[in-house]
Amino acid sequence: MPGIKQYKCPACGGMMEFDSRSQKMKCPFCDTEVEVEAMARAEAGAAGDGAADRHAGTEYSADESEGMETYACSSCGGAIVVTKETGASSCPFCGNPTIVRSKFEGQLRPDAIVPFKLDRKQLKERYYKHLEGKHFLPAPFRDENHLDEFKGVYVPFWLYSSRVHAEISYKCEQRHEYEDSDYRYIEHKYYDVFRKGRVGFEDVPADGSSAMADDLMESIEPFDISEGVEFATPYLAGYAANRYDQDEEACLPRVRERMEGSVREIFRDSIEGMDEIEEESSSFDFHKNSARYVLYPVWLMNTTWNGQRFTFAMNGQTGRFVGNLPMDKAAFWKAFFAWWAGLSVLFFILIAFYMMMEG
Amino acid sequence: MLGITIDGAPATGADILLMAVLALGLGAICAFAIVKALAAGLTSVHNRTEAQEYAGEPQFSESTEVYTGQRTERIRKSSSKKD
Repeated sequence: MPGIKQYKCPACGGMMEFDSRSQKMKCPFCDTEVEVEAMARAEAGAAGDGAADRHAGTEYSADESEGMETYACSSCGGAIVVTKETGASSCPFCGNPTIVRSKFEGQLRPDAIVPFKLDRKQLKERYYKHLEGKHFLPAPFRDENHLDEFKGVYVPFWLYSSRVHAEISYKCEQRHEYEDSDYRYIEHKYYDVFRKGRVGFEDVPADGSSAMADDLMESIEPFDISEGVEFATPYLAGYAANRYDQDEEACLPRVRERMEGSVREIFRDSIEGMDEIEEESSSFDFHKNSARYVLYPVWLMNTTWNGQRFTFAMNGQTGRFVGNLPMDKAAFWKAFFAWWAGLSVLFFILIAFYMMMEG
Repeated sequence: MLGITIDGAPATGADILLMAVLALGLGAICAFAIVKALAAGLTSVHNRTEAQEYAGEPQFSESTEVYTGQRTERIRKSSSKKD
Protein backbone atom coordinates (compact mmCIF):
# COMPACT_ATOMS: atom_id res chain seq x y z
CA MET A 1 0.00 0.00 0.00
CA PRO A 2 1.70 3.25 -1.05
CA GLY A 3 2.61 5.67 1.73
CA ILE A 4 2.33 3.15 4.53
CA LYS A 5 5.59 1.79 5.91
CA GLN A 6 5.20 -1.90 6.60
CA TYR A 7 8.14 -4.20 6.99
CA LYS A 8 6.80 -7.30 5.30
CA CYS A 9 8.43 -10.66 5.74
CA PRO A 10 9.99 -11.74 2.41
CA ALA A 11 9.00 -15.35 3.19
CA CYS A 12 5.41 -15.21 4.42
CA GLY A 13 4.38 -11.56 4.09
CA GLY A 14 3.76 -11.08 7.85
CA MET A 15 4.65 -7.82 9.62
CA MET A 16 8.25 -7.91 10.79
CA GLU A 17 9.49 -6.32 14.02
CA PHE A 18 12.90 -5.40 15.35
CA ASP A 19 14.20 -8.25 17.53
CA SER A 20 16.45 -7.04 20.34
CA ARG A 21 18.13 -10.43 20.86
CA SER A 22 19.29 -10.99 17.28
CA GLN A 23 19.47 -7.25 16.45
CA LYS A 24 17.67 -8.09 13.21
CA MET A 25 14.21 -7.69 11.78
CA LYS A 26 12.26 -10.81 12.66
CA CYS A 27 8.95 -12.19 11.49
CA PRO A 28 6.86 -13.30 14.48
CA PHE A 29 4.98 -15.75 12.26
CA CYS A 30 7.72 -17.72 10.48
CA ASP A 31 10.84 -16.54 12.41
CA THR A 32 12.54 -15.29 9.26
CA GLU A 33 15.32 -12.84 10.09
CA VAL A 34 16.58 -10.00 7.91
CA GLU A 35 19.41 -7.54 8.61
CA VAL A 36 18.14 -4.04 9.44
CA GLU A 37 20.53 -2.51 6.92
CA ALA A 38 19.22 -4.81 4.20
CA MET A 39 15.66 -3.82 5.06
CA ALA A 40 16.59 -0.13 5.01
CA ARG A 41 18.44 -0.54 1.71
CA ALA A 42 15.48 -2.31 0.13
CA GLU A 43 13.25 0.47 1.39
CA ALA A 44 15.54 3.17 -0.01
CA GLY A 45 15.69 1.35 -3.33
CA ALA A 46 11.91 1.19 -3.48
CA ALA A 47 11.75 4.92 -2.83
CA GLY A 48 13.82 5.59 -5.94
CA ASP A 49 15.88 8.68 -6.74
CA GLY A 50 13.54 11.00 -4.87
CA ALA A 51 14.67 9.66 -1.47
CA ALA A 52 16.54 12.19 0.62
CA ASP A 53 20.19 11.74 1.44
CA ARG A 54 20.24 9.85 4.76
CA HIS A 55 23.78 10.73 5.58
CA ALA A 56 23.85 14.45 5.09
CA GLY A 57 20.69 15.85 6.52
CA THR A 58 19.13 16.31 9.87
CA GLU A 59 15.63 15.86 8.54
CA TYR A 60 13.62 12.77 7.83
CA SER A 61 13.20 11.84 4.21
CA ALA A 62 9.70 12.13 2.77
CA ASP A 63 9.54 8.36 2.50
CA GLU A 64 10.43 7.88 6.19
CA SER A 65 8.02 10.48 7.50
CA GLU A 66 5.15 9.08 5.41
CA GLY A 67 5.53 5.77 7.20
CA MET A 68 5.27 7.28 10.67
CA GLU A 69 2.53 8.64 12.88
CA THR A 70 2.51 10.91 15.88
CA TYR A 71 0.44 10.41 18.99
CA ALA A 72 0.05 13.08 21.66
CA CYS A 73 -1.28 12.41 25.14
CA SER A 74 -4.08 14.69 26.24
CA SER A 75 -3.17 14.05 29.87
CA CYS A 76 0.60 14.57 30.23
CA GLY A 77 1.42 16.12 26.86
CA GLY A 78 3.90 13.37 25.96
CA ALA A 79 4.27 12.74 22.25
CA ILE A 80 5.53 9.65 20.51
CA VAL A 81 6.33 8.64 16.99
CA VAL A 82 5.58 5.12 15.83
CA THR A 83 5.71 3.31 12.56
CA LYS A 84 2.23 2.97 11.12
CA GLU A 85 2.06 -0.76 11.67
CA THR A 86 3.11 -0.44 15.34
CA GLY A 87 0.38 2.04 16.26
CA ALA A 88 -0.23 3.11 19.86
CA SER A 89 -3.11 2.55 22.23
CA SER A 90 -1.93 4.34 25.36
CA CYS A 91 0.61 6.91 26.48
CA PRO A 92 3.88 5.23 27.53
CA PHE A 93 4.60 8.07 29.98
CA CYS A 94 1.43 8.14 32.04
CA GLY A 95 -0.54 5.14 30.84
CA ASN A 96 -3.47 7.33 29.72
CA PRO A 97 -5.45 5.65 26.93
CA THR A 98 -6.69 8.96 25.49
CA ILE A 99 -4.04 9.70 22.92
CA VAL A 100 -4.61 11.69 19.77
CA ARG A 101 -3.16 10.60 16.47
CA SER A 102 -1.83 13.20 14.06
CA LYS A 103 0.28 13.34 10.96
CA PHE A 104 4.00 13.02 11.47
CA GLU A 105 5.61 16.39 10.98
CA GLY A 106 9.29 16.81 10.32
CA GLN A 107 11.48 16.69 13.36
CA LEU A 108 15.20 16.32 13.26
CA ARG A 109 16.31 12.94 12.11
CA PRO A 110 18.51 11.28 14.76
CA ASP A 111 22.24 11.08 14.07
CA ALA A 112 22.33 7.63 15.64
CA ILE A 113 20.22 5.06 17.43
CA VAL A 114 21.21 2.52 20.08
CA PRO A 115 18.96 -0.47 19.36
CA PHE A 116 17.20 -2.39 22.12
CA LYS A 117 19.37 -5.22 23.40
CA LEU A 118 17.08 -6.48 26.14
CA ASP A 119 13.67 -7.94 25.54
CA ARG A 120 10.53 -8.31 27.63
CA LYS A 121 11.72 -11.57 29.23
CA GLN A 122 14.90 -9.95 30.54
CA LEU A 123 12.85 -6.97 31.62
CA LYS A 124 10.71 -9.26 33.77
CA GLU A 125 13.80 -10.68 35.45
CA ARG A 126 15.17 -7.19 36.19
CA TYR A 127 11.84 -6.07 37.56
CA TYR A 128 11.70 -8.89 40.10
CA LYS A 129 15.35 -8.34 40.96
CA HIS A 130 14.49 -4.68 41.59
CA LEU A 131 11.81 -5.76 44.05
CA GLU A 132 14.13 -8.08 45.95
CA GLY A 133 14.83 -6.99 49.53
CA LYS A 134 12.35 -4.11 49.37
CA HIS A 135 10.57 -3.71 52.67
CA PHE A 136 7.08 -2.22 53.05
CA LEU A 137 6.27 -2.80 49.38
CA PRO A 138 2.51 -3.04 48.71
CA ALA A 139 1.54 -6.55 47.63
CA PRO A 140 0.02 -5.56 44.23
CA PHE A 141 3.49 -4.53 43.02
CA ARG A 142 4.63 -8.14 43.07
CA ASP A 143 1.70 -9.16 40.84
CA GLU A 144 2.71 -10.18 37.36
CA ASN A 145 -0.16 -8.39 35.60
CA HIS A 146 1.72 -5.07 35.92
CA LEU A 147 4.38 -6.33 33.57
CA ASP A 148 2.13 -6.21 30.55
CA GLU A 149 2.12 -2.45 30.76
CA PHE A 150 5.81 -2.13 29.92
CA LYS A 151 6.51 -0.34 26.66
CA GLY A 152 9.70 -0.03 24.71
CA VAL A 153 10.36 3.60 23.85
CA TYR A 154 13.25 5.21 22.03
CA VAL A 155 13.91 8.35 24.05
CA PRO A 156 15.45 11.39 22.34
CA PHE A 157 18.73 12.47 23.88
CA TRP A 158 21.09 15.29 23.09
CA LEU A 159 24.71 14.31 23.58
CA TYR A 160 26.98 17.22 24.33
CA SER A 161 30.73 17.36 24.04
CA SER A 162 32.68 20.25 25.38
CA ARG A 163 36.01 21.31 26.74
CA VAL A 164 35.55 23.10 30.05
CA HIS A 165 38.18 25.65 31.05
CA ALA A 166 37.96 26.42 34.75
CA GLU A 167 39.61 28.53 37.43
CA ILE A 168 38.80 27.80 41.06
CA SER A 169 40.19 29.42 44.23
CA TYR A 170 40.01 27.76 47.63
CA LYS A 171 40.68 28.63 51.24
CA CYS A 172 42.28 25.60 52.85
CA GLU A 173 43.33 24.57 56.31
CA GLN A 174 45.81 22.01 57.51
CA ARG A 175 45.61 20.79 61.13
CA HIS A 176 48.35 19.22 63.15
CA GLU A 177 47.93 17.97 66.72
CA TYR A 178 50.59 17.33 69.34
CA GLU A 179 50.82 17.42 73.14
CA ASP A 180 53.08 17.74 76.13
CA SER A 181 52.44 16.69 79.72
CA ASP A 182 49.94 19.50 80.44
CA TYR A 183 48.55 20.63 77.13
CA ARG A 184 47.20 19.39 73.85
CA TYR A 185 48.05 21.67 70.91
CA ILE A 186 46.19 22.07 67.62
CA GLU A 187 48.14 23.91 64.98
CA HIS A 188 46.07 25.46 62.17
CA LYS A 189 47.91 26.37 58.97
CA TYR A 190 46.08 28.36 56.29
CA TYR A 191 46.61 28.29 52.53
CA ASP A 192 45.22 29.99 49.45
CA VAL A 193 44.96 27.30 46.79
CA PHE A 194 44.37 27.97 43.12
CA ARG A 195 43.68 25.58 40.24
CA LYS A 196 43.45 26.45 36.57
CA GLY A 197 42.95 23.85 33.88
CA ARG A 198 40.61 22.14 31.51
CA VAL A 199 38.58 18.95 31.35
CA GLY A 200 37.11 17.46 28.20
CA PHE A 201 33.66 15.86 28.19
CA GLU A 202 32.35 13.46 25.56
CA ASP A 203 28.70 12.73 24.88
CA VAL A 204 27.09 13.87 28.11
CA PRO A 205 23.41 13.01 27.68
CA ALA A 206 20.27 15.03 28.39
CA ASP A 207 16.85 13.78 27.41
CA GLY A 208 14.97 16.12 25.11
CA SER A 209 11.49 15.22 26.24
CA SER A 210 9.54 17.20 28.79
CA ALA A 211 7.22 14.21 29.32
CA MET A 212 10.15 12.18 30.57
CA ALA A 213 11.32 12.94 34.10
CA ASP A 214 14.95 14.08 33.98
CA ASP A 215 15.88 12.32 37.22
CA LEU A 216 14.44 9.05 35.91
CA MET A 217 16.53 9.23 32.75
CA GLU A 218 19.65 10.27 34.65
CA SER A 219 19.18 7.32 36.97
CA ILE A 220 19.36 4.72 34.17
CA GLU A 221 22.58 6.15 32.71
CA PRO A 222 25.02 5.37 31.31
CA PHE A 223 24.26 4.29 27.76
CA ASP A 224 27.11 3.15 25.57
CA ILE A 225 26.97 5.29 22.44
CA SER A 226 29.81 3.28 20.89
CA GLU A 227 27.14 0.63 20.21
CA GLY A 228 25.07 3.21 18.36
CA VAL A 229 24.31 2.67 14.68
CA GLU A 230 23.10 4.90 11.92
CA PHE A 231 19.41 5.60 12.34
CA ALA A 232 17.04 3.57 10.21
CA THR A 233 13.28 3.43 10.63
CA PRO A 234 13.14 -0.41 10.79
CA TYR A 235 14.61 -0.16 14.32
CA LEU A 236 11.36 1.50 15.41
CA ALA A 237 9.20 -1.46 14.37
CA GLY A 238 7.51 -2.80 17.50
CA TYR A 239 8.60 0.19 19.61
CA ALA A 240 7.65 3.84 19.97
CA ALA A 241 9.98 6.79 19.59
CA ASN A 242 9.41 9.75 21.82
CA ARG A 243 9.36 13.10 20.06
CA TYR A 244 11.72 15.68 21.46
CA ASP A 245 10.12 18.93 22.53
CA GLN A 246 13.20 20.47 24.14
CA ASP A 247 15.86 21.37 21.64
CA GLU A 248 19.60 21.29 22.22
CA GLU A 249 19.65 24.89 23.47
CA ALA A 250 16.97 24.15 26.08
CA CYS A 251 18.80 21.12 27.51
CA LEU A 252 22.24 22.74 27.52
CA PRO A 253 22.04 24.42 30.99
CA ARG A 254 21.27 21.08 32.63
CA VAL A 255 24.29 19.44 31.06
CA ARG A 256 26.58 22.36 31.82
CA GLU A 257 25.57 22.17 35.44
CA ARG A 258 26.63 18.52 35.49
CA MET A 259 29.92 19.28 33.75
CA GLU A 260 30.63 22.05 36.27
CA GLY A 261 29.83 19.67 39.11
CA SER A 262 32.35 17.16 37.78
CA VAL A 263 35.06 19.78 37.20
CA ARG A 264 34.55 20.98 40.78
CA GLU A 265 34.95 17.40 42.02
CA ILE A 266 38.06 16.73 39.88
CA PHE A 267 39.76 19.99 40.89
CA ARG A 268 38.96 19.46 44.55
CA ASP A 269 40.36 15.91 44.42
CA SER A 270 43.64 17.35 43.14
CA ILE A 271 44.20 19.14 46.46
CA GLU A 272 46.07 16.89 48.83
CA GLY A 273 47.02 17.09 52.48
CA MET A 274 44.34 19.58 53.54
CA ASP A 275 41.85 18.94 56.32
CA GLU A 276 39.39 21.58 55.21
CA ILE A 277 38.76 22.91 51.73
CA GLU A 278 36.38 25.75 51.08
CA GLU A 279 35.69 27.02 47.58
CA GLU A 280 36.03 30.77 47.39
CA SER A 281 35.42 31.61 43.75
CA SER A 282 35.11 29.84 40.42
CA SER A 283 34.70 30.54 36.74
CA PHE A 284 33.92 28.19 33.87
CA ASP A 285 34.26 28.61 30.10
CA PHE A 286 32.91 26.13 27.59
CA HIS A 287 34.89 25.60 24.37
CA LYS A 288 34.62 23.32 21.34
CA ASN A 289 30.97 22.69 22.02
CA SER A 290 29.12 20.21 19.90
CA ALA A 291 25.90 18.26 20.19
CA ARG A 292 24.30 15.35 18.45
CA TYR A 293 20.87 13.90 18.52
CA VAL A 294 20.41 10.21 19.29
CA LEU A 295 17.70 7.78 20.34
CA TYR A 296 18.33 5.60 23.37
CA PRO A 297 16.30 2.48 24.20
CA VAL A 298 14.21 2.63 27.38
CA TRP A 299 11.58 0.29 28.74
CA LEU A 300 8.86 2.20 30.59
CA MET A 301 6.10 1.13 32.91
CA ASN A 302 3.43 3.22 34.56
CA THR A 303 1.18 2.12 37.29
CA THR A 304 -1.18 3.84 39.68
CA TRP A 305 -1.57 2.95 43.31
CA ASN A 306 -3.77 4.81 45.79
CA GLY A 307 -4.27 7.61 43.26
CA GLN A 308 -0.53 8.15 42.83
CA ARG A 309 1.33 7.47 39.59
CA PHE A 310 4.58 5.49 39.60
CA THR A 311 6.91 5.26 36.63
CA PHE A 312 9.63 2.66 36.24
CA ALA A 313 12.33 2.71 33.62
CA MET A 314 14.91 0.24 32.43
CA ASN A 315 17.91 0.96 30.28
CA GLY A 316 17.16 -1.15 27.19
CA GLN A 317 20.87 -1.56 26.55
CA THR A 318 22.40 -2.31 29.99
CA GLY A 319 19.36 -3.43 31.98
CA ARG A 320 19.78 -0.86 34.73
CA PHE A 321 16.34 -0.70 36.36
CA VAL A 322 15.04 2.21 38.43
CA GLY A 323 11.77 3.51 39.80
CA ASN A 324 10.60 4.74 43.15
CA LEU A 325 8.33 2.25 44.82
CA PRO A 326 5.45 3.22 47.09
CA MET A 327 5.46 2.43 50.76
CA ASP A 328 2.76 0.42 52.46
CA LYS A 329 2.21 2.76 55.44
CA ALA A 330 0.37 0.14 57.48
CA ALA A 331 3.31 -2.25 57.15
CA PHE A 332 5.71 0.60 57.98
CA TRP A 333 3.97 1.49 61.26
CA LYS A 334 3.49 -2.18 62.16
CA ALA A 335 7.23 -2.69 61.82
CA PHE A 336 7.91 0.51 63.76
CA PHE A 337 5.80 -0.55 66.73
CA ALA A 338 7.34 -4.03 66.73
CA TRP A 339 10.86 -2.57 66.76
CA TRP A 340 9.84 0.03 69.33
CA ALA A 341 8.46 -2.58 71.75
CA GLY A 342 11.48 -4.85 71.40
CA LEU A 343 14.06 -2.07 71.67
CA SER A 344 12.29 -0.43 74.63
CA VAL A 345 12.42 -3.67 76.63
CA LEU A 346 16.08 -4.06 75.70
CA PHE A 347 16.91 -0.48 76.69
CA PHE A 348 14.97 -0.84 79.97
CA ILE A 349 17.04 -3.91 80.89
CA LEU A 350 20.27 -2.15 79.92
CA ILE A 351 19.40 1.00 81.89
CA ALA A 352 18.40 -1.03 84.95
CA PHE A 353 21.61 -3.05 84.71
CA TYR A 354 23.66 0.15 84.39
CA MET A 355 21.94 1.74 87.40
CA MET A 356 22.58 -1.35 89.51
CA MET A 357 26.22 -1.44 88.48
CA GLU A 358 26.64 2.28 89.19
CA GLY A 359 24.87 1.83 92.56
CA MET B 1 10.44 -3.19 92.93
CA LEU B 2 11.26 -5.65 90.05
CA GLY B 3 14.33 -6.61 92.06
CA ILE B 4 16.13 -3.48 90.85
CA THR B 5 18.28 -1.83 93.41
CA ILE B 6 20.00 1.54 93.28
CA ASP B 7 22.74 2.18 95.85
CA GLY B 8 21.67 -1.05 97.52
CA ALA B 9 18.09 0.17 98.09
CA PRO B 10 15.11 -1.02 96.02
CA ALA B 11 14.29 1.37 93.18
CA THR B 12 11.27 3.56 93.82
CA GLY B 13 8.27 3.86 91.52
CA ALA B 14 9.63 7.19 90.31
CA ASP B 15 12.97 5.56 89.42
CA ILE B 16 11.24 2.80 87.47
CA LEU B 17 9.02 5.33 85.69
CA LEU B 18 12.04 7.42 84.74
CA MET B 19 13.85 4.35 83.40
CA ALA B 20 10.75 3.29 81.44
CA VAL B 21 10.34 6.74 79.89
CA LEU B 22 14.02 6.79 78.97
CA ALA B 23 13.82 3.28 77.48
CA LEU B 24 10.68 4.14 75.51
CA GLY B 25 12.23 7.35 74.19
CA LEU B 26 15.46 5.65 73.11
CA GLY B 27 13.46 2.73 71.69
CA ALA B 28 11.28 5.07 69.62
CA ILE B 29 14.25 6.96 68.19
CA CYS B 30 16.14 3.80 67.24
CA ALA B 31 13.05 2.02 65.90
CA PHE B 32 12.20 4.98 63.67
CA ALA B 33 15.77 5.17 62.38
CA ILE B 34 15.70 1.45 61.54
CA VAL B 35 12.39 1.45 59.67
CA LYS B 36 13.33 4.67 57.82
CA ALA B 37 16.57 3.01 56.70
CA LEU B 38 14.62 -0.05 55.53
CA ALA B 39 12.14 2.16 53.65
CA ALA B 40 14.98 4.09 51.96
CA GLY B 41 15.53 1.08 49.68
CA LEU B 42 12.27 1.92 47.92
CA THR B 43 13.79 5.03 46.34
CA SER B 44 16.13 4.58 43.40
CA VAL B 45 15.56 7.71 41.30
CA HIS B 46 17.96 10.58 41.88
CA ASN B 47 19.04 13.73 40.10
CA ARG B 48 22.64 13.71 39.00
CA THR B 49 24.83 16.72 39.56
CA GLU B 50 27.95 15.38 37.85
CA ALA B 51 29.01 13.75 34.61
CA GLN B 52 32.11 11.97 35.85
CA GLU B 53 32.03 8.97 33.52
CA TYR B 54 32.03 11.26 30.48
CA ALA B 55 35.02 13.30 31.62
CA GLY B 56 38.55 12.92 30.26
CA GLU B 57 41.82 13.44 32.11
CA PRO B 58 42.16 16.94 33.56
CA GLN B 59 44.95 19.15 32.22
CA PHE B 60 46.17 21.66 34.82
CA SER B 61 47.96 24.76 33.56
CA GLU B 62 48.32 26.44 36.94
CA SER B 63 48.36 24.90 40.37
CA THR B 64 49.43 26.93 43.40
CA GLU B 65 49.28 26.60 47.17
CA VAL B 66 50.25 29.76 49.06
CA TYR B 67 50.78 29.66 52.81
CA THR B 68 48.96 32.59 54.43
CA GLY B 69 49.45 32.10 58.17
CA GLN B 70 48.82 29.97 61.18
CA ARG B 71 47.55 29.88 64.74
CA THR B 72 47.88 27.38 67.54
CA GLU B 73 45.22 26.34 70.03
CA ARG B 74 46.38 25.20 73.46
CA ILE B 75 44.01 23.02 75.47
CA ARG B 76 44.76 22.12 79.08
CA LYS B 77 44.57 18.32 79.40
CA SER B 78 42.88 18.07 82.81
CA SER B 79 40.13 20.64 82.26
CA SER B 80 39.90 20.53 78.46
CA LYS B 81 39.88 24.31 78.71
CA LYS B 82 41.19 26.22 75.68
CA ASP B 83 43.86 28.83 76.33
